[in-house]
Amino acid sequence: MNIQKYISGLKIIGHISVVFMLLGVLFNACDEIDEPYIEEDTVVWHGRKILIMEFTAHRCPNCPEGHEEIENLQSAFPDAIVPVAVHCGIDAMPVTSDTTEPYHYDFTSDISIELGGDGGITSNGYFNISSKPTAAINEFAPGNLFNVQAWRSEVAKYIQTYPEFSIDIDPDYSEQDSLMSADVSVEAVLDSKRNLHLCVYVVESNIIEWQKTLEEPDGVEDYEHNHVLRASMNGVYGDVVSADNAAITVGDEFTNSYSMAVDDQWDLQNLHVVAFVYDSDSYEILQSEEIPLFDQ
Amino acid sequence: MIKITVKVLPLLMMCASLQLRAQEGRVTGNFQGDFQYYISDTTINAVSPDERLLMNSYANFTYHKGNFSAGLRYEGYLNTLAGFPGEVCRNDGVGIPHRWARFSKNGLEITAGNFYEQFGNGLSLRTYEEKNLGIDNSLDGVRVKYNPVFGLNITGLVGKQRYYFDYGPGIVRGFDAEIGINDVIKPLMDKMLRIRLGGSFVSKYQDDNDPVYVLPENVATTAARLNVNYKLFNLETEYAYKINDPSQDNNYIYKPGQAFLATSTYSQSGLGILLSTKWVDNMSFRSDRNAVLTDLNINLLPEITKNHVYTLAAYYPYATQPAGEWGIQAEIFYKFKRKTTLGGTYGTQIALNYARVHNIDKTQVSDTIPLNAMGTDGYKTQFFSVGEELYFEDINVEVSKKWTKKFKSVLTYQHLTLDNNILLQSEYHGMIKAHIGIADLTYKLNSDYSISTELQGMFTDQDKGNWALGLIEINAPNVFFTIMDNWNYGNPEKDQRIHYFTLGMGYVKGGSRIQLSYGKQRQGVMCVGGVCRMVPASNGVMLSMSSTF
Repeated sequence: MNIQKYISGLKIIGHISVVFMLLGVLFNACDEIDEPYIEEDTVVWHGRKILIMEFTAHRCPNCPEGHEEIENLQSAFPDAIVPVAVHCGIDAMPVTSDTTEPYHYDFTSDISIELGGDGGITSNGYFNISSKPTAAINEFAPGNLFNVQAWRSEVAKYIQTYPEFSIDIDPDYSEQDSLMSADVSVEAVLDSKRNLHLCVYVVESNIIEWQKTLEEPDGVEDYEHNHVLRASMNGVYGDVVSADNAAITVGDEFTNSYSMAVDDQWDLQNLHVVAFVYDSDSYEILQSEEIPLFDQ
Repeated sequence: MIKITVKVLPLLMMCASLQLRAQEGRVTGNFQGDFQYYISDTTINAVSPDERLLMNSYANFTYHKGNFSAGLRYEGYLNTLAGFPGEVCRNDGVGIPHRWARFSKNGLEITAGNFYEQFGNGLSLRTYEEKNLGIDNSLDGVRVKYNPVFGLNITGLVGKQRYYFDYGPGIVRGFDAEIGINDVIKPLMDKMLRIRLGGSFVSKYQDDNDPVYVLPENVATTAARLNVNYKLFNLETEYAYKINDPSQDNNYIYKPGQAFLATSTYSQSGLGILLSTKWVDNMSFRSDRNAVLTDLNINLLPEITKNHVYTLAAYYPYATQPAGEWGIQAEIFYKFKRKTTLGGTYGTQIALNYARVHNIDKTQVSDTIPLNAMGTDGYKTQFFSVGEELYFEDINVEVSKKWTKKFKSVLTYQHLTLDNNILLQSEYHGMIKAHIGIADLTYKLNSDYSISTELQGMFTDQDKGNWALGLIEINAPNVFFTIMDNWNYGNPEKDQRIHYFTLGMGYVKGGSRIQLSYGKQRQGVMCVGGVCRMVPASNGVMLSMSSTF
């Protein structure tokens, strides 16, 4: 069959050809991007917060180097760093009970000694601390401690990974009975099968006290101590959130409520609640969160 | 940006009152002005703006002469009525943001300036104006339509989208062709089976200034469509595909988008059947990747649920979810003939409608990347996958019957289920289920006067609880009066069981209409075609005027 006999002229074919040519030109007018989608040398934080458990002491002249690095990391990765300063060892102990004398202030606590030890008098603590400053970066396990120079590269390992969980903390304080409380919920963002623990700690910042430094061997009187670990609301090693490698699916939520008495030495305005969830087999901290007791 | 001073307004108003017929051409136009005086009302959280009185106004003027036409639209927002889009006063002011000129000759039509256009069903491109939503995403540029032979229509366009009194940052380029097979192949001309084929390609350009992500500067959507008609049966389908388009809408993921739409109808005297389905996957398409709400949409994903007109039936409208949705709709219209048992003396019409919308199935792109994570491929899905989450379900039946020469009724029952975590029609979290019943009764007193009443009830245990509505409207030659009470008598909070009274009257003559009302307006959501805007609670006096010439 001679199709041209039936089609209203060859010009239709011509017009259709032009249409397809135009479509061909236009199809090339689009940019299909292949991975990686991120500009070279760019760091993107996806919301996984990194807990730095820093072991320190007020009579440790090298320790301010660690404090400074924490500040640097917080500036470099705003919102991504959750520091906890564990004052431990002999050089963390007060040297006098005379409050007019330097280093009378006791930064240690039961939990800080449990984690970091008392300098070997009775133990080196769960983390087996033999020198300071040092830190555990996003791991709740002894043996994987890093000196200050390595902190940034350790943080970099985690900074671009995605969080498996999100943590929501709703803190409160009752003036009547001097009790602080926190409702903590952990929600799965990824599917997994893990044994999970949740720790809820209390830290205090803006404590102005003595600190030895390399520049001032006798110490600086008005040094600002931040993120000082004060106590745990649910034990040093936390609560079991999920056991028996149970399947955890996106949206699963684990909620617990905690409360504890507030030490009258603590400044309520400077207290923060820190919560972190870790895998109790690999000890990797999967997500952490920090929130002030009172809105700032 | 083109703006004129407010001094020009009286001149334009004067023009609107005249029907100009120049010797060599013809001028037509229309005017609409909506004015509202706001009163603060703490019972409904209505806040009076500083200006107290706000106004939206428009005036169109079009000149026609032979193959040439040109027009402009004056718009004044002094300042924009509450609830209309345009944050940070972006929409406030006066100006002529819409002007165009067009001529056509020998199958060629060229438009320069602002224009509205739709390719197919709008999956790839639809620019339009919807005053009720405050939407005008017209293109300002050049459009060429060419009809080289009967049955073949070609359209090409380039332009920038209107963004209130400014332009969006992107450039839109589009091309569409549609061919009627029966029109170009002579042996098929007389066949009952008629087929039309169409295809479109739309591309947008926007700079990539992002320091973090590698963003595509040219993003294209292509669509193909088929329309088959056989006797009383009609089928329309369209499929669209969009390449990677990271945007605010999709949390900057790089997954391509897809959309599919199919609508079939069958109609004969007294019977109409409609079946349609829609599947949407990451198909938001805007000329600014950072735009939100109703700003700078290039395409429009048609709604697949019934657009209700009665107040309580439209209380929970459906808003299209461009991130992903699957939906179906079925509607049957049947007219029982006169002088039958069910038809009675004048016949009875029944319309049964069912719509259901779900999410689509999405799975993680890998074990370590959450769903929809920014800067990734987002998720994986299968074409036409249907998720388990129900977004919206609407089953409704409407029976219209004329009982006597003077009395007729429309009775409606509706059952709604919606997931308010997705649709966000109010602050309520969770699923909402509601039963709605409506009786619309009209009695004709004589050939000039009639009285209508609407009795509506919505019954739900969720959100703000039960509502009742009563409306009386009296129609007389050129004038009408209305009184309405919308009462939230079932609100769980007793002090929120508020009566929203409204009194209104209007005057209509020729092409002009003026309407004055006073009362309270509840907070809610208004949707047209699946696109929505929030309506804030208000109390005050509303004056609306419109005129055409």
